Order: sequence, then structure tokens, then C-alpha cells
Amino acid sequence: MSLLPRKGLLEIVSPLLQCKRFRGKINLRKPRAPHFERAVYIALTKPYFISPKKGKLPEELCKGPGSTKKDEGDNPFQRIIAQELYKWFTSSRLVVFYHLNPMDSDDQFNAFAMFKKQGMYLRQYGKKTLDMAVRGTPYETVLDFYVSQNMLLFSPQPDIKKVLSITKKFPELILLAAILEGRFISKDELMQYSLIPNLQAAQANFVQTLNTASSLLVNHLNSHQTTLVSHLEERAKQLK
Amino acid sequence: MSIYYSGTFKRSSGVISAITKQLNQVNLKPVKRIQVQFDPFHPNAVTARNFLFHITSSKVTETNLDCLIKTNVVCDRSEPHIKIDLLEAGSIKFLLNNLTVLEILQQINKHISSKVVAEEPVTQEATKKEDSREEN
Repeated sequence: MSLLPRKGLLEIVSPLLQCKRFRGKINLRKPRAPHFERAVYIALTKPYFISPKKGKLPEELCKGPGSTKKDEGDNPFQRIIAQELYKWFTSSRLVVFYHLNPMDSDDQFNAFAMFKKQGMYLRQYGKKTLDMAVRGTPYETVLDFYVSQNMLLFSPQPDIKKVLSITKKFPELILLAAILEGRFISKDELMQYSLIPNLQAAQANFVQTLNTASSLLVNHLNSHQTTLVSHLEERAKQLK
Repeated sequence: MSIYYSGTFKRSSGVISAITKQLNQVNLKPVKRIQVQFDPFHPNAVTARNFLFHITSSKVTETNLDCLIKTNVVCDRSEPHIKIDLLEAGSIKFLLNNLTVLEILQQINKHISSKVVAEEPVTQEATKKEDSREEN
């Protein structure tokens, strides 16, 4: 409509340009007092924010003792980590539980590196994560002694001797218990298992124990002959 | 209408502040050896483990580098206990069945740390006199 007085709609409508400043410095510290109407407009349009304390009861606003942080509920990321942890539990044949004394991060990293070279994974988890991972599963008993500071070691192969040799180098790691092939074992039992030799040696030991009875019998039967032979040999040596 | 909270706004974070305060006072100079024995499956092993964690911190071990801290993990469901062997004859045994970490540390400070004689600070007067002589 405002275009009609301009004899049609084909004329160019240029906006009014008014230069405010030319290469000058901007004045921010000492602005001049605005005109009354402008001042009224500024005062009316000034933003205001509703106080965060509005509508809250005095007990919510209390900052005294007892006004601690509340539990934030389910954390999806923590749940993912817990699921990963459960997978580690099920996929590793040997899980070792350590008590952790104060340890430099450098030492902690060195321990992690040494275990990693053997194909084992040293990890640290919080109790809440472990609770999420393990509650309702056969591994629930782990929570009973998961107090104070802890470290977990997951090994796909049940190589107890290597675990013990590396653990000796780090006195801050104190072995508590382990899960071997899905069976919960104490520290003493772990030490006993570490003394078991490899399969062939174990089989040879087994064969020997089976044969002890018969070999004893043979020894007893041949005792007189063997003593006679040994006496004769001695006599022969004397005569020489 | 309830009144607002009045009183001190404390900066203490509870038991841990008390434990830290005791730990700052702990001095292991008269101690030769500390033996901590616990069974991880015992319900009161928490005390032993927490005590072990606090006592092996660098600040406490630095008070006496010759003091050995030995941990003994047993599997016979026995009560956890701490045995402290002193440099002079004698040893102190703490039975942890009914003790808390704070109580143990308080007792240690009472009986052991109190025996430590504080070293006199080296006087700086002598050095100042030497400096003034050199200037003259």
C-alpha cells in the first residue's frame, strides 16, 4: 500500500541510510543519558530472571548438614560399562581380585603394561558398576569382599605362575581371591594350583602313584636276592 | 513457618576428615614393623583393608622408611588383627573385630606417635650473624 504513492510498483525503494560514526572509537564507558522516552522503553524491556529458589520449600533450600547430593539414578553409560564387565567375567578363565594400596599412576601403568604383554587385563571398577554387572548372576558373591580399594585382573588363559610372578613385583597389589574356570578359589588354593606342573608331568606323577603298590610288592619279593647280590659285589671288590 | 538453618556451616566432611586429622599426626619412628592380617571373606575385613590403605600412603610411610608393613591374607575365617612391633622391646596388637579405623589411628597416636621426640628447629641466628660480618 505504501508503494502506491510512488507511481507504481516498479520504482526502486531505497532505505534511508544515516551514518552514525566514521572511524571513531566506540564509547561504552560514558554513554550519555538517554531521552526520557528511550529510558522508559529500556526500563520496561529490561530482562529479569525468576530466582531458582522460587517455589521451593525451606527443607529443600537448607544448606546445613544432611543436605547431601542425592543419587542420580540409572546412568546408561555406567550400564554399558557394567555389561562389558560382565562379558569380561564370562569370557576369561581366570579372574584375580586384588586389594589396592596407594600406588603411583606410573606404577599402575607399568603393572597394566606387564600384564597386557602376557595377554591379561588389569582393570579398576567401582562398586556400583560391579553391582550392576554382577547382581543376579552366579558371580554375586564377589560383592561381599569388594570393599575398600580393589583391582581386577582378567586372563583368558589360566596362567597362574605368570600372574604370581608379576604380582610379586608390585607390593601395592595384594592378592585376595580368584575365580578359576568358573570356580571361586581362595588365595591358598590358588597357590596350590600354581604348584601343579604341566599336563605331562602330572600324568607321569599319576602313573607313578598307580604303580607304587605293585612296585613295592616287587621290591619286597626281590629283597633277599638284591641284598645277596650287593654283598657279593662288595666281597668281589674287597678281593680285588 | 520453619526457621532457616542456623549454626556453623562446617567444612568437615565427616569421618574422613577425622581420619585425615589423625593420619597427619601419625609418626611411625618408634615402629619396626606392622603386620596386618585379615581374611577377605570375613565381614570385619573392611577395617583391616581401610587401615592398610591409609597406613601405606606416602605421607605416613615417609615418617619412617625403615618400617616394614607386611600383609598377611589368610583363608581360615579368623578375626582380622594388626600387630605392631616397636623398636624398643614390645609389640601392640589390635583386634579389629569391634574397632573402626578412626579408633585404631587414635590409639596409635596416643601410644606410639606421642613417644616421638620432636626435633628442635635449627636456629637461624648464627647464619644471620655470619652474613652481617661478611657485609662489614
